[in-house]
Amino acid sequence: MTTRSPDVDGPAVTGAFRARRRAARATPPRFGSWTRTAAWYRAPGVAALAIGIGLAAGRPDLVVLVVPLLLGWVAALLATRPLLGSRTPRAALEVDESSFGRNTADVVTDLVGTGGVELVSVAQPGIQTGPVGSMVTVPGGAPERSVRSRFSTRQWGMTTVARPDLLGAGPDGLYLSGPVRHGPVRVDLVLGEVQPIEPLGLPPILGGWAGAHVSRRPGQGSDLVDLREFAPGDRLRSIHWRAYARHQRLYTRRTLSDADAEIMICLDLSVMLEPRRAGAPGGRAAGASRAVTKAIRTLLDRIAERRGDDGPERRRERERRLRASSLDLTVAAASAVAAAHLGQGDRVGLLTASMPRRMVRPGTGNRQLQRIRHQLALLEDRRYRLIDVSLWGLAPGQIVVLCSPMVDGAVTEAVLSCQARGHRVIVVDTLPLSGLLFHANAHDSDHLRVLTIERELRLDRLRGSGIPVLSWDAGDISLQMATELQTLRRAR
Amino acid sequence: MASDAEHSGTVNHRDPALRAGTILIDGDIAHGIRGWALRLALGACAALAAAISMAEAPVVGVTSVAGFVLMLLVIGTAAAPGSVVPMLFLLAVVLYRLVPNGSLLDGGLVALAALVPIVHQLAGLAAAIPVRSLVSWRVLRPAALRLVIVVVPVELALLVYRLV
Repeated sequence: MTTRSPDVDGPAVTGAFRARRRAARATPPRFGSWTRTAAWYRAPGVAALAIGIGLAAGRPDLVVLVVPLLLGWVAALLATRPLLGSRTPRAALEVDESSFGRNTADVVTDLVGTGGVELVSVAQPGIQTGPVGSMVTVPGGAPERSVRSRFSTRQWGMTTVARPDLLGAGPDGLYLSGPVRHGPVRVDLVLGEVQPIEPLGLPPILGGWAGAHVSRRPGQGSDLVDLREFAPGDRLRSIHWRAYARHQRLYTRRTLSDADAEIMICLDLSVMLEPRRAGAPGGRAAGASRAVTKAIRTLLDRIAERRGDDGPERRRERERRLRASSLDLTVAAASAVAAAHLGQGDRVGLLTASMPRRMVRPGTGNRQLQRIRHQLALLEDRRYRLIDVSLWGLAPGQIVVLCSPMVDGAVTEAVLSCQARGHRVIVVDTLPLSGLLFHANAHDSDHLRVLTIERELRLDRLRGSGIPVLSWDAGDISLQMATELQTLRRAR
Repeated sequence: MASDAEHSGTVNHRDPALRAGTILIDGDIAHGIRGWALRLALGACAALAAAISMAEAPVVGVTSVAGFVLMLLVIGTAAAPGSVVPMLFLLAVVLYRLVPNGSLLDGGLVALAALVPIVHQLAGLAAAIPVRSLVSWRVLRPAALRLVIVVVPVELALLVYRLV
């Protein structure tokens, strides 16, 4: 999944990711040997005491009482014989990579070496529950067992898909192997979800001969300018027949040419803001209280979902949205804009406006969308220095869609510089303001107030320069774009 | 050791039988009980054994210190089956039998002779199975088989002895 595409500039997998991935794959799983448990000593201990007391006190009932216990222990020990000296069970993972487009995959865990084992408990990934979402205990006996489960996530980037923690046990739990934690971990690059949005209604484009947008160049197109008298060489299909019916003279339609757009999505990674993560209060009582509350809520959610109520899902979605960072919103906005415009035939590219510079050259089609999503999934939550606009590598005529939290004055200057270079610029504000406000404490609120005022001044400056500013956090940026264009038209 | 971290590659098909929330074991949908149900069963068996022991020894009394300790051991057995508590519980059951109640080979002994190995086995299994794990029914089959093979002859011998 992390193979480098030939059309993608910049490192497909950064050094840090490579190192992390190598480390995850090369971590030697801690498979140990079989160890005796308390159950191994329990039966002979109790039996010895009971038989001793029974013989000493002349009480045969005590001896009879522990005879089945002792016989059961011996039977379990006899069943344990093939287990001793053999290797402990281990897991191998297979993942259906072809299904990662929807962030869902089937994970098959092959359990090897389960021949003389009584039972093996293995962790399985689940739907929105992470790599250790559930456990399943399977019987031994056969030399190999296969467990298949479905993994699904809303995360993006390098994600632990499966981590089959193991716990093997011999007959009656007399012997244990494990628990094996952090064994063969499967880490994969998960692409971010693409939220469906309408393409942004772009203002008239300066050039172009075909496409989905209105241009300012006269030519073959759909946008009517006026009528003129028919002249030799005009196409018959452009004759305006209603004008002919009124005036008994031939008129032809003059139209503006349709144009395609070349959109470059620029990402501002110089600042990353995320809602405050409330530290969990310490103490066992608080932990137990949280666990009980969570269990009750999970139970109520399950009951509601069985009734067909979508309230729990909506609540979880809202909680996820309120936890999103500016990087999450940037990735979501970029992939949504790219998908919408690639869907209508525009050429779309991607670049990071900060070091290290990454770029996907403009292209069309579904494969281009996958390239862009792949590059977006490789982004890291690190702060990078914003680079000068002259080094962004923008081609003339490209429409710049800048996804940025807009908390830095340098970004405002970069946007204005872009516009001064003749690019049409659209700013998608990716500050997770609702999440920041929701999770803010009293101390944060003062900072946020100052930040918001400064930001509004910058955004007003951009709007005053005729640059549409859309907020991804507020939702429906297509509608916002239409409103912004209407406002700009009125201002003229 | 590195060879243990096996990544066999990719699966290129989806199993249609696999739906949300289900797990397939060797191609079949996993059915069974949760790990905590085993602990509940262990607690129930331990409570039954404790009740029989107390009933067999009325002179000790339920509200005595010994009765209170036995109840604590029942709870501890279910809560921590991998610890030393189940052993202490079984020892307590054996010691309760020391209290003279007239008959040595009575009905209580018949019941306890079955319950003691059941408690031992359930404690061993419950300690080896995580609480939230889905336990396939087939997991319990060998243990149940061993229990039947061991307990049934002893129980039959006790019943025959009582009848004779």
